[in-house]
Amino acid sequence: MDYTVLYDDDHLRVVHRRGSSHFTLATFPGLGVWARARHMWAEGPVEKLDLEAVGFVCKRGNWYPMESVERAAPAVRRVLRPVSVGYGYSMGGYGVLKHGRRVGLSHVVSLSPQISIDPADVPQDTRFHSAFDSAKHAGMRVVAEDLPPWALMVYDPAFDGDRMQADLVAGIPGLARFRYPHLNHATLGMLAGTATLGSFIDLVVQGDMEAVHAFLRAQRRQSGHWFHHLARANARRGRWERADKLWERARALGMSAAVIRQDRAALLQAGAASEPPAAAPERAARRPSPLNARILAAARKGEHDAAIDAARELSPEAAEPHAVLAALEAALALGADEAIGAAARLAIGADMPKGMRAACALRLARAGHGGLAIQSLLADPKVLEEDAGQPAVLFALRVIASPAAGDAAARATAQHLLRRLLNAVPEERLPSPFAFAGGSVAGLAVPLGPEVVLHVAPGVPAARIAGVRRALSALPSELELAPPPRVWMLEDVFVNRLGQVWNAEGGLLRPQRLPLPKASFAAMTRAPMVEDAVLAPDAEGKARGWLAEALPALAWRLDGEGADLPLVLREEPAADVAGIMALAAAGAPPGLLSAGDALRVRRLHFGEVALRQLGHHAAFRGLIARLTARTGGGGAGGAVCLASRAPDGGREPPWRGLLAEFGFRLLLPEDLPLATLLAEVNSAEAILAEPGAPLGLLALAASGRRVFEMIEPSGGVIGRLGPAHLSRIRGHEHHLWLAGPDAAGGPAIAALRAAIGEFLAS
Amino acid sequence: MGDRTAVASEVGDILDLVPHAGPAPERGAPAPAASRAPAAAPARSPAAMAERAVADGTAETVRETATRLIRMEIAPGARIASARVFARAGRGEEALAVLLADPATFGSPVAAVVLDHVVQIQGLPRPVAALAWHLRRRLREEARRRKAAAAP
Repeated sequence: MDYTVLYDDDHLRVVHRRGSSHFTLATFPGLGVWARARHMWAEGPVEKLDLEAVGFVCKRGNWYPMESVERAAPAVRRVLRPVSVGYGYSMGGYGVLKHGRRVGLSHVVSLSPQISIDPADVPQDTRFHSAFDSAKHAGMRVVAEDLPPWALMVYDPAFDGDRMQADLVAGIPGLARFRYPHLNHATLGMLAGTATLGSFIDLVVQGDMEAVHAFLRAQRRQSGHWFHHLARANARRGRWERADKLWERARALGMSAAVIRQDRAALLQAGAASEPPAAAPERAARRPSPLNARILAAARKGEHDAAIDAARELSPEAAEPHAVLAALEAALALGADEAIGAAARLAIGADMPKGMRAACALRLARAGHGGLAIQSLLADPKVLEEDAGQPAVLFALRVIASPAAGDAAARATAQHLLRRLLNAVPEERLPSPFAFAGGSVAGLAVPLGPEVVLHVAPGVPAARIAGVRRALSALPSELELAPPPRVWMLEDVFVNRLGQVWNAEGGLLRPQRLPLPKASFAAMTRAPMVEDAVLAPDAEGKARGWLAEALPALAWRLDGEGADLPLVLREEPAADVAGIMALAAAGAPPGLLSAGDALRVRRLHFGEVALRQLGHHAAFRGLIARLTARTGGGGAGGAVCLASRAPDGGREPPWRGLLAEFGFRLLLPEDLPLATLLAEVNSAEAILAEPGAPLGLLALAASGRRVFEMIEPSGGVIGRLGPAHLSRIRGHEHHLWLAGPDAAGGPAIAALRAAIGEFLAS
Repeated sequence: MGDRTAVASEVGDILDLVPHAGPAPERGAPAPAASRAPAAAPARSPAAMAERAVADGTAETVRETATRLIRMEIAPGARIASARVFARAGRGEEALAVLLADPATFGSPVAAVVLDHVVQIQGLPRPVAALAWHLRRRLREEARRRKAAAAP
């Protein structure tokens, strides 16, 4: 079905699709989603349901400028059917509310909308201030006169930014509200899926607000997205057991296992109960005792001394977990040893769920108080019980066992406790009869790509710049020392769906950070057996990482070595893995084996490839050539921006405005099939990578890519130079932007603009 | 992509944290020098090691011995016995470090015999004393709970 362009200018395009529905659906995409569609936002459901539709497509984050919409409105009105439903999210939620009546819509549904981004209207919601343009956005605030006869707004009242926005239209007649707590800005996911959206729109068309509300309420029971966010909310508060149960439910309802794994890992990394305790809505119902309340109130106001004073008066038996964590954070913020000791004693004595105990230990360990961390963690023997909270405890132990935690004795205790808990044993690996192409020639004679160009934002400390320069220049000597990649083999081992590998005695060779599940132990005696198999490396559950990080290690198998050997996957074989194998294999793609609880393998072969070993081009030449040839023509070319994962709340990074200025097309890697992503990278003339974008793709991209990578100021930059090194090894041109402490400030944006300009001109 | 590209194998992850462990070399490779060294002096029992360290009297010797005991694979009873030696000698921190390094002893009701001694040591750092006291309290509560559950 063809799409007709009704209107097009520098800011806005409006397309029309003829369909068989008796009503028109008009879609208004949000900032992060407008670039995904070929023609219009939500074209998938629109086409499957064969809806008559109009798509408003903002060409950049411009909040549907009045002037453009007014010019487009006559053409839109001409094609709208008498019943026409507007549907918008975030920036699109604004568009549909502000312009619904103007363009002739009869019904509008606005998900997590902004009511205005004018700093004068929303001084405290700073998320989108940088996109406000007084010339384009004069009088932008939504008022009663803008609304069509039937209007509904859906949002999370506990999410500060969206609540402030909703408060601006409090009391406006004719605007119904539906509240979805726990979702933050991610209300869109509640209506994901063609069938769900279709049923919802049908109810909206009937104009039955009560039925629409009932539908949205019922979605809570049926949506994996809902349970996923509920689990996240629980995990943030340290309730890992409950969170894991909710994640199970989310998975059963179709939520992506990879997304769950990734979010769970991120929350675990961030530390359980990272959300300010006072923000937990349940607290209102469970009123804390006066001393606990004093700690919480003082911590909330940043009055650390007062929080510690109250903590000193509080007996551990009366301490509530959130107050303990608040006291600990206050003490760590103060940095006084005596205060930290007092808070740690509270943590030791208070009875807490193990997730919260692990969170306390994590805070202490990360601040270099390893001794207090292990004392806080091990003060309750229940922490070692095997249950859903165990991963949080194991993670805390890992941090205490790391050098960052500081205390040598605590490190030793944590290291050995961890090893014994996991029953970890050393691998006894043998050389596999299979090998990477190019043989085992040591040393390198590969020309490196051009040197990395460093761009530095204002305010970056000189020591950090010097450190980065040193690390960048260290590469050639490291490469010279890199041995060629090898294929290894483990004899008579078991593998399970978690990717754990263990021996017949139950000793874990690859624990994957967890003890061996009882089910796997029990399944050993009846485990199916294969003679030879290839272990598919795991990339920590990151779907995008799989292509970049696991595929090089399989290059030997995909080149045709061990042609009959199946691939053992840690999870159920995912469709995209099969697709990638078909793209990457020289002959028939390898069969995929699901390990289940236990799979016995007589000879388990696996390749190992470290970053610096990618310089052995002969080992990967065939794989890269096949991928390049088979994904050729799949990309749209031009300049692309690989977006980072959208943070909670949909807060747009401050530099996004520059993308349109320089003509970058935004790609959301998480939403693209891996082959498409690789095709886009291979066809792009320039690639701008936001912090956290999956630049591991560069390992498999055709040489000669031009990359501008942004690195955020926080944390250790040196460890994140992998993509820059990778570019040199693989012959790409790499520019590195070292962001400063104020990434959103005018000078930083100006410097970034200059750096991108220099990159594009180079 | 981090420093290591492929194979998110964790063989190193846990074992790398343990100074003396780590992935074993290829099978059949020459043994490391240490393991080819002449046999060490006759092994002492863990409790005897602890007693000898305590008798030596220097803090450094006690710490070193405690670290060795933390690393050693010893039976739970032997671990508890050596921890008790440290506790009775007033070395509460070392006693706890040895006790807590093995899930078989940390959390065992028998650990209370070590904790009984630790809580009586004067001058312990307050968090260490708090750990011993609360761990003992929780072990006792758990023992009472189990006893009640087992009662007809």
